[in-house]
Amino acid sequence: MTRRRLKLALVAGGLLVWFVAVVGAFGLVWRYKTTPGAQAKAPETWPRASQIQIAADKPNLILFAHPQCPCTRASMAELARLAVELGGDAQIHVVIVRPDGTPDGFEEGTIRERATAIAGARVIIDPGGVEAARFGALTSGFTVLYTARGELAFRGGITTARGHEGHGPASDRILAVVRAGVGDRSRSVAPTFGCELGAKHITASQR
Amino acid sequence: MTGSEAVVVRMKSKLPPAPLASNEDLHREAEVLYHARVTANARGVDRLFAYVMLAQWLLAIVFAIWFSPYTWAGKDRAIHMHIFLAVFLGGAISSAPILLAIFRPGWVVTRYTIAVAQMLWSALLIHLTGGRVETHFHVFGSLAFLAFYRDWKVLVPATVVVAADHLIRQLLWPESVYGVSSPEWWRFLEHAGWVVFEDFFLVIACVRTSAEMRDAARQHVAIELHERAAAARIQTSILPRDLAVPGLDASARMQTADTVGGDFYDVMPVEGGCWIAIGDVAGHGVRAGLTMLQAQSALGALVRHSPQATPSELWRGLNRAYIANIRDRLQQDEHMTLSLVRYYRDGRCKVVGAHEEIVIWRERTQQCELVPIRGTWIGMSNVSAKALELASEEQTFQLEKDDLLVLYTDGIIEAKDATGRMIGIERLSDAVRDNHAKSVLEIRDSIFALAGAHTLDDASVMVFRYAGPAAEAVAA
Repeated sequence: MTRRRLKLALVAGGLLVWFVAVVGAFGLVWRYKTTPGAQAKAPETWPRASQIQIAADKPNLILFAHPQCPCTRASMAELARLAVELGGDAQIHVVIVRPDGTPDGFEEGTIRERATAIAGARVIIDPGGVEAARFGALTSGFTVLYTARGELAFRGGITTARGHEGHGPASDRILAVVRAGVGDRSRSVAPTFGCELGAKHITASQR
Repeated sequence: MTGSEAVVVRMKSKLPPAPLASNEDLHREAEVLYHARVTANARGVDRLFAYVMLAQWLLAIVFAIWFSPYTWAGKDRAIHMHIFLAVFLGGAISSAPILLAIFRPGWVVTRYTIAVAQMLWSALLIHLTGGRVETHFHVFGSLAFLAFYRDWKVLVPATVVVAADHLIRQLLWPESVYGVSSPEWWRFLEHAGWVVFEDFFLVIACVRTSAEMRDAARQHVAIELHERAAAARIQTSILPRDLAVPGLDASARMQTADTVGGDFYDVMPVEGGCWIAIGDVAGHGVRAGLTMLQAQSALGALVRHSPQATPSELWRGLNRAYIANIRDRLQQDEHMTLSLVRYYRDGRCKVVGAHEEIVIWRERTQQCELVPIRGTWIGMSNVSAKALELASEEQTFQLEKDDLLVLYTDGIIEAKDATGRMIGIERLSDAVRDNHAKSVLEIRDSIFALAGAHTLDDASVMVFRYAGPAAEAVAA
């Protein structure tokens, strides 16, 4: 093999390794983005101890958010779109969890601003994540939908991947439940993508 | 053969015809120039893309730090995955094209790698922004930038990467590219279709600009060949037609290179001998040819005005005339190397100037002798009178019967043979030694044979054989 050919072979080999490495890295990104956060069971009925004011005349949609989680911006964007589509047919609550041990003002930021900007949404600050614990929310972006009668109709995330906006099947399910008035139990769970909320763990009786 | 005929040999100097630009020459040289320009353009665009790759990498890091610095677990935070992605994946994507642009600019593989990397950047950015439609503009901007290469083939790998990325992600994870979870099955075709739409116009632009570059190269070469022919005509038309010198058997030849240099030689008979000059004007083309013409005219005028002047006086006069004309009036900075030899019929030679060593074949010792010329160039301004006096100091040597005097320009000794080896003064001397018994014309041609058919620069050789004092007596 001539020296020139050897050089060309080395360059070609190097480029092949580079391309495979880059494509492989894209694969790792895909894995990271599609790995959901922890998820617990939400109570089947509206927790009696909850301080969140339930709207008795329509379904209640509650999204739990970590105020500093970058991935939750996508959930907020999706919730804003959902709010437009719901058009007031459901009461939207955004619970911003302020974990214990965080300084004052920790709850401020883009997430709260976006939540406040959603028309008709009630924004609730949840010190220590007490309300989040009552609803079994462990991951930021976790959303629950209760019917007007207080029955759980949906739980999970409303984005289809970590930090990715866009209309997904979870939004379709929520819209279907709100419009039909009843939920399809078999399709009422979706994975949640976001940061850990840091909510307290409580027992069913404490709910 | 009479005695006088044996002494005064009239030898016509060989005048090469002015180079004619055939269509084949024009086409060949135009293609060479076109490809040189294509490569130069590609090297420039490679460098630009190296900066773009670096900028994209740094911007990705800045955006990652700005928008998603940390991931949270309650009150605890950790560096967000996006920062690692920007640093490592972004760095990996940019590394290969940057390295190739630095170490292998102008290579075809460099621009193809850049095209692929640029589309991988589009894929990463679209991915990191959650398939935002706005980020897809990066693809279209990148394709337009790739068209700077004026090589439509570069758009092919770029388009393939975009289409493959959209197809694969549509199948596996459509949100990451379209921002929706259930796009129509043909959505990737729609995106790829718009890319092809842009490609269509960019390909036309590339083909047209390539054709324009080819035309421009052809026009440039046509002008250059014309100019070169004119310069060659100037250069060769003033060479002496007749080398008739009492007591000297003479032969001289000049071979002009593809790019006209500035060689010249002259033989001017005067009473009791002659003036011999050989020199080389720095530079190439018409300008060098005109400079040489002026120098030759000035030298001719000086010799005709003062045929019995000393070489030193003539050299200083020529230097003054050269500085006045070339430096002061034309504001040009070319200088000229020149050996000025005053030959006397008794075999004495006085030489002044700065040029290649003179080769003298000594018939009596059967050896070559080298006479270095230690003066300075013609056209050196801002030189003190003392320095000029030293520069124009004469050297004297004596020719004996059948000695050979060989003068030449650097185009001969700096020429390379078929093996790439420079001819050099030693091989020239060997050629003189090996052929000393032959005619001056054969000796001259044997020296040219060393340099081969083509020299990079003009090449000139003058060979003189001294007939000796006896012949001088006969002539007298």
